[in-house]
Amino acid sequence: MLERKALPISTVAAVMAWEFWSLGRRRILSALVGIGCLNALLYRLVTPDSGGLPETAQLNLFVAIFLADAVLIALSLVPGRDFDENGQAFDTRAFLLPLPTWLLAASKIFFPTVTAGLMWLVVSAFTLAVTPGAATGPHWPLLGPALVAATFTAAGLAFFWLPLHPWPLRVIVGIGMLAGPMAWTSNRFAGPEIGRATRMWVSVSATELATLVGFLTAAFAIAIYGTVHARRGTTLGFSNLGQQLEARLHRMRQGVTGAFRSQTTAQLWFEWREKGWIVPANAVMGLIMFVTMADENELLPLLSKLVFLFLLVMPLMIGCLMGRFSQSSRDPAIDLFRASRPVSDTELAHTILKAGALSVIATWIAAISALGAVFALLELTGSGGQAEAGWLILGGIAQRIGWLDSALGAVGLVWISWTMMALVTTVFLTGRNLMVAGLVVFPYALGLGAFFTSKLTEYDVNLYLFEAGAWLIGLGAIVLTMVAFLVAGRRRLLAGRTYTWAVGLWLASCSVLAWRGADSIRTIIDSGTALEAGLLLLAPGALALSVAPLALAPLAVAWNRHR
Amino acid sequence: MSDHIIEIDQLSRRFGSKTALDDATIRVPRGLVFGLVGENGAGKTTMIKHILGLLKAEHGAVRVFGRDPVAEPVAVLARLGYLSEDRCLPQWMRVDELMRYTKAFYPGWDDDFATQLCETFELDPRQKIRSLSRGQHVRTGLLIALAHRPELLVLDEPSSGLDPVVRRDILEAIIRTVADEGRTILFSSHLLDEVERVSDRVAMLHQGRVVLEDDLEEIKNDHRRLTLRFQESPATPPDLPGQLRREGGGLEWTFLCTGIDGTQERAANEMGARFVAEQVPTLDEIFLAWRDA
Amino acid sequence: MNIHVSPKDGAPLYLQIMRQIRYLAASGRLEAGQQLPPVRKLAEQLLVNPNTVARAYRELETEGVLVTRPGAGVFLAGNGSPLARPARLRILSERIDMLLSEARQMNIGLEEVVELLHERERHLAKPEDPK
Repeated sequence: MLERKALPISTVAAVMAWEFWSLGRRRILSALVGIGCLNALLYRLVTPDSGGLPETAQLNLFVAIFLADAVLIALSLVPGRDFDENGQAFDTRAFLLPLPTWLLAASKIFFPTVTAGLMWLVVSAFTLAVTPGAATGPHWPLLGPALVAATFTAAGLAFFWLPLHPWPLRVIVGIGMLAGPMAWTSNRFAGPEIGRATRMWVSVSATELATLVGFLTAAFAIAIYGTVHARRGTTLGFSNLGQQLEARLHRMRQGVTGAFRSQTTAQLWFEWREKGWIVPANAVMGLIMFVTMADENELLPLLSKLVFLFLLVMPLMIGCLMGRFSQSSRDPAIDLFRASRPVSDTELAHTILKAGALSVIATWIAAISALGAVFALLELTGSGGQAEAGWLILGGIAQRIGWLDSALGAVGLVWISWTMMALVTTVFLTGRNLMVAGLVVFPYALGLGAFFTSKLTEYDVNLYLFEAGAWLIGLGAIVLTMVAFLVAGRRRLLAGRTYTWAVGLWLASCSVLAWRGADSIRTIIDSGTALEAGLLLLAPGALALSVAPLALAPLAVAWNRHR
Repeated sequence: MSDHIIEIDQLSRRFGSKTALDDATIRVPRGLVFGLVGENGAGKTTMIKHILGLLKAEHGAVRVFGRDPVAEPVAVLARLGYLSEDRCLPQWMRVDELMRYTKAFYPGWDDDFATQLCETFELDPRQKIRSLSRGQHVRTGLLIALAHRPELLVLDEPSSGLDPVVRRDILEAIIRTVADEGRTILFSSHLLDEVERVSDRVAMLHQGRVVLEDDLEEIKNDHRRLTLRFQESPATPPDLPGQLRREGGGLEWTFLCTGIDGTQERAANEMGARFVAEQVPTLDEIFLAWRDA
Repeated sequence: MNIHVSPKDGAPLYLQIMRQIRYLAASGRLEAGQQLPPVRKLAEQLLVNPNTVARAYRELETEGVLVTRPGAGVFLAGNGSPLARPARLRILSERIDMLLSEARQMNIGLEEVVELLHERERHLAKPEDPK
């Protein structure tokens, strides 16, 4: 009797061990160490010697770290080896293993799920252990999130295993599968402000436990169902319908499009169709989901924060996306197809920047019109209160950004978005992992350096250092830009027109800034030392950075393309 | 301008500690089919990437149409058609979209020719590239490399891993292209009977070195498989002038020799042996002999 | 026109083409004055470089086996051509060379081979007699 039972159990154990060993071992261990160190560092820095922070502040901190951890853990769990080279579909090699389908599905989903939950618990325990004073807190503070994380991991992976076609159906089902746990947890987690402690952060009742387990079970069932189909090679959904729709769409498109007007148009079309549309489309979907799920009272503050997030974070994301030539992280170099097109490095770089700018603008327009549409819909269906609040929000947001107050605010926003997007794109265009890593590490190191400097040095020294830093950064940006233009010019990458534009734009923006901020400039000059004038260099330096990509991006492409 | 479409001079390239090309020099004359042969990893793709300007010459120089492909990528790329070894067409495009996109870059794009190729290759213009079979994918790549009637066609291992039908399509495309006056083809392959069928001139790469570069006919004239019969078996393995490979034992020995003239026969006579057979070896045998020599 | 070339044969492809055209002409399967396929078409059919086919045609033309009529194409020369007989003899010599080298390998003397030739000739004259 014992043997008959022991065999399947030991098989399951062996499969789990194999999964752990082959897939996740290194990444999970390194993620654990990384998260632990990061948390320890943050706690040490923020609470130097006592648990003197008020409870809300501590919990706020927990939430911040929870979010950071979530990103890291998600990254560590994305099953890299299970995807094909393009990262788009599951590698069917797994299907060749001599295992029953249910075991295969279970091992692929059960293992990351349990690991996600365990990692959270370990991390929270570690955090508590290195935080003086925090150990006196109420309970295991992250048990709830650990369980929720496990649930989401399971639901997400189950979705990955579903061979659904066509892709819109896949997206809809994916949202549906995640929406259930999300709707359920959002009431228990999110208070009126992000980070306000709710009960579930610290303790879990039996009913909640049962619900989460229910979600988990459902995810397993779906995953096994999906895997069975994927292994047989059958797809679910309506592939015929998808093909018909696509054919019709094609006929419509053919009616309006002939040949491209120029190379640039063709390349712009390429960049947009490949990646440009992704962020705007997802932004719309995310916003709609978010607005429909939030309730009236929390809508206003959350939404205004979210829109700011949209305006400033989206350009960064778009930059990352547009600058990446290849899909695989192993080889970030430019793809053979684009490299062998008869496009000049400059044209390729500028077209990619243009597509990025279009993508940013489309994201804004899409976000605003999606919000408007949702509010209008709410008004039509009679939820007047919410809609009214919505319109107020839209107005309020515009006011906050400064569109209603001054034109400069709007221009400034556009300028910041462009600069961020263009610089990030440029770094990715180099196709060097080291440069991309630098993009992440450099601001972090800068922030950390500034933090330590301010903590460790006297006030005077501190001020001195910061002013010197301002000099350095301002001058550095200007010099970098000039060098970039010079080098690009010597390699005959730039046309004369580009120089005129760049210099013109820079001078114009500097003079606008000088004109608008004349008063504050005068105060600085009157009161300050020579060092304080360094602050004055910061602005032209930053403005120079917004034209620098015009020269830097072609250089980056050239560096990437001709190795 | 000289009459060489591609000039590669003493080109060397290392990737880390691995030498991909070592002092390689080749000349591709206008209007010929040039076959680049060698094993996988011999440096064929590295050489082609230099021609496309995707790699910078570390030592030596590369000129295509008399220009530097790194400094002037457009001037070079616009005049050539390139078919890569891997699946590198954008997966998300449809065949007709790819044709429309590609057309924008080449003034010489011939719509009728493109349509005709599409029909010959039995391609469905509405199909997504992601869903094409390997053979169809290669045919699509060939279509966009040919439809602008390039002066130079560069094919990197066009037929590896393909079924005979697609291989035939590719060879026919090569033959048709070269039949158009003045067009040049550079193609790399490890299938030597294909190279022998269509090439005018051949360069053999081995471990990054060009071990042999000549007109195919010269190569054929200059190599013989010679079988010698001795009166009594020699004490030590015998040697012939210009020998690349020796096999056999006892009374009969077979040599693959280069530089065929009277010297081989004289040497044989001195050793007290006579020729019993003299044959022209296949390119395959010549290549293997050079590789091991 | 039924021609096959194979790189596995070793002999240069243009020689293979020349040999086979000569053979077709000598055996009467190509008639005098008959038109040959254009270079490009034959190249596509055989899957060989057009230059190779062109070279074979050119050499056969110098031998007098083929004639080019400008604007019309390539044709097999008339039977009265002085070189038709030497060409046929050359084909035969190649066969005889092969026969002789095999005979030598099997240690069969020349007289014996000649005798065998006569015998086969008699045998061919009355094919109803097997053996």
